[in-house]
Amino acid sequence: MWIKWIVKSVVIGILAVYTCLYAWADDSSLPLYEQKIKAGLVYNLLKYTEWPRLSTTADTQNTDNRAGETLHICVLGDDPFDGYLSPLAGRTAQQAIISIAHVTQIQQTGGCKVVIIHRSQEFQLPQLLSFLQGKNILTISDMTQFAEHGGMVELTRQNEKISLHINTESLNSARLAIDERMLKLAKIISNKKGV
Amino acid sequence: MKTPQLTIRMTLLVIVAGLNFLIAVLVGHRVYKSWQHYQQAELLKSGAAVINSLYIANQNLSQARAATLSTMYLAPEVAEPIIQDMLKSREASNSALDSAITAMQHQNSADVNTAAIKMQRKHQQLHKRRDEVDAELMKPVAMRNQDITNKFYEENTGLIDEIQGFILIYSRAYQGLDYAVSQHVIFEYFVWELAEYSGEEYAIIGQLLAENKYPSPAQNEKLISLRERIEYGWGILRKFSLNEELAGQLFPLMEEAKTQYFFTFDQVRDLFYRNYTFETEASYPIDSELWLGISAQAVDSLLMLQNAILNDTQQRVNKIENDARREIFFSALIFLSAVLISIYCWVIIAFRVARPVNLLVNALYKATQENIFDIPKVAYQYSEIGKLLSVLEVFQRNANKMKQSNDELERFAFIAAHDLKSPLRAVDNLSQWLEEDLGEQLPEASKKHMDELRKRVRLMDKMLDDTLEYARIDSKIDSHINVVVSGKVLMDEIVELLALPPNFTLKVGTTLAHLHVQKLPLQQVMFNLVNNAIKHHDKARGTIEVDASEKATEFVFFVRDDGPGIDAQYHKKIFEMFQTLQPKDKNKGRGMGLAMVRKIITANGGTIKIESTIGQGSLFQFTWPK
Repeated sequence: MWIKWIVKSVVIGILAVYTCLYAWADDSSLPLYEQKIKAGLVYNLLKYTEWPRLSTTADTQNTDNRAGETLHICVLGDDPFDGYLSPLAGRTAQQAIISIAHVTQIQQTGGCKVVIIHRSQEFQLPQLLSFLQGKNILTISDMTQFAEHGGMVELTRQNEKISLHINTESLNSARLAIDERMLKLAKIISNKKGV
Repeated sequence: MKTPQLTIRMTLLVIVAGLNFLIAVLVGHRVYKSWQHYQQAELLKSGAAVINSLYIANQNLSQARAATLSTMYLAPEVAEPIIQDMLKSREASNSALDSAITAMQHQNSADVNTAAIKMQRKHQQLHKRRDEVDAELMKPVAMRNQDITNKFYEENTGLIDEIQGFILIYSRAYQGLDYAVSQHVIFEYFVWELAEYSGEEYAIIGQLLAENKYPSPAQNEKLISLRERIEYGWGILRKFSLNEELAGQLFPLMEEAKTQYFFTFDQVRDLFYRNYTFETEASYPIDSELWLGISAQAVDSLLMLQNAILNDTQQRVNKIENDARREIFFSALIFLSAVLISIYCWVIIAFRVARPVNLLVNALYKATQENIFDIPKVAYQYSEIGKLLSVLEVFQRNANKMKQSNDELERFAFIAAHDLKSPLRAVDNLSQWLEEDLGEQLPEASKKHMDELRKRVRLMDKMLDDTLEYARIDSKIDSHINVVVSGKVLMDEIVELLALPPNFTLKVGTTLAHLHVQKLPLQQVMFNLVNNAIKHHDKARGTIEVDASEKATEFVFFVRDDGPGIDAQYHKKIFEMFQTLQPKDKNKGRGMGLAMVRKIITANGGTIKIESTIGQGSLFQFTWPK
């Protein structure tokens, strides 16, 4: 009998451990997937955003003007994508070479085409956006209501799903344009009144 | 006698025609090669167009498939734009497939035909499935039969695979024509494979996301298999990208397509590549719409890369065609120029050289044969031949003058000889009459003088005869009445005429004996020479040898005797009229034999010379044109 009990206990124990481990793995890995998917979306944004100096969109075959340019991405504060963006460094989008720099102050974003703002910077968001106002810089953040506050691309979660919010007014004022194909996938946001 | 003038003209024309032929062959060969290149380029172009259309058909089939799968989960009012895209893609795929099939109707081989029929059959079947799908789309989402979606998916994918397989068969015929193009075809093939596998991957994932389900073991297996194929495909493309000449400007596009693919698909792969199948409901951090949107963009990048390759292939094929067209144009131009130059040369040679030469030769030949010299009319009087004709005209005028002068001289000699003979006869008669009248009264010494007088008169009479005969030598012997005899016959007749003295031998050489020559006036020459040798022989015995040799254009005759010989100082003098080496009264001749011999020989275009030394006999050697 005791042997049977031992076997039963071991089996139950193993199953319990396995279930716990599995439950832990499942719960903890979900946010990781989200960061990876968001990093993928950032690359698509790099491909389908038109900067004034990058004269044409990625779809055109006119490659002469973009070859050799650098597309600087500045990450302000912590990395919202947990390092999943790093493999993009050295690759190309619209034939411009992507470089990624981590900055601590908004004043260090002078040469950047893209500024990624971590949600931890929410406390100084108005100052950040004010500093970037009028510059041809694409702003991306994972903070909620980033787009409503005048940010350009917001990558947050709604109902446990990643959602893409784009503020076209902010894009226009920065003389940037995002391709229709990306806009179709996004929720178009207008500036909150008073912002 | 065969006239030689045609040979000159024909030789010139044959040389020119030969050169023309050689040029025509060389340039014609170039034209032929160019034509072959052009045909290959045309073949390549039509092949590339067919392959291009088939890939466009596949792209649209793929897009229509994706759109169909998307719309099956969407309410009709939401799905309307996608349905419109789907219909456009269907239309585009039908039209591309039709144009490919029409384009390849001219160049099919048996296996291509079979594959094309199979492809068309599958296309017909797909039409039915499309109708079923369209009927389903009219229903509410919850009422739609997923089996129809699955069957449609399978048949749509089956047709895509069939077309892809067909491209593989079809492109074999074109792969040997141009290395770069054939490599591009392979490049296109793998990019399409990538796009297709990515499309399948994105569709399966999209379905799982839409249904919030974990992949079944079969789906998981399929996803893993697709991923392996995709990684293999990227490995192949990597090899292509290393070839700067082939990849060229496609390389950056390929790198971006690859980055986009991996940054889209790799972000979600961990969601599915897990071995837990016991759960049926899943919760994903991304909804199917966003997924389908971004993954479609990644697939689009691949299709864009494929389009770029197709464009690049088309440009290469167009360049090959243009090069071939330019080559054939220049070859044809060179050929035409060569033909024109050849014709020009031929005309120049024919009308400015060969024809005037021919006219000149004919005129000269006629002049020699008939003594009529008509100046031919030459178009270019200041050319070399024109000048030559004018020189000949001067010569002819001089010759006419000389002939006229000779004729007058001959006439004078004839008249003089004829008229002088009458007084001579009168002197002879008168001397006889005088001798008869005086009878015995004429002293003996005077009788002797009278005899001497008549002897001299007769000598003079003979000399006048000789002069007359000499003057007549130029009269042409008509070749029609002149018979051809052998040398033996010729010499036999001479022996008969001569009445060869006893102890004299005439040896006729074998060459002469076997020759065939015109009898007159050669017989007279030989007679005079042999007769001369006998007449002036200083011994009781003598041997005279006659022989001949034959050369290309003439005969050379020899008459050798063992007589007293002639001193070298007289070698010229003996050929002059009335020249004897002894006084005429002592001499056996009147000094006309050799003069007439020389005149006959020179009048017939030959020459005569003598080799002789005192006491060692003489050798007369003369030439006689054939």
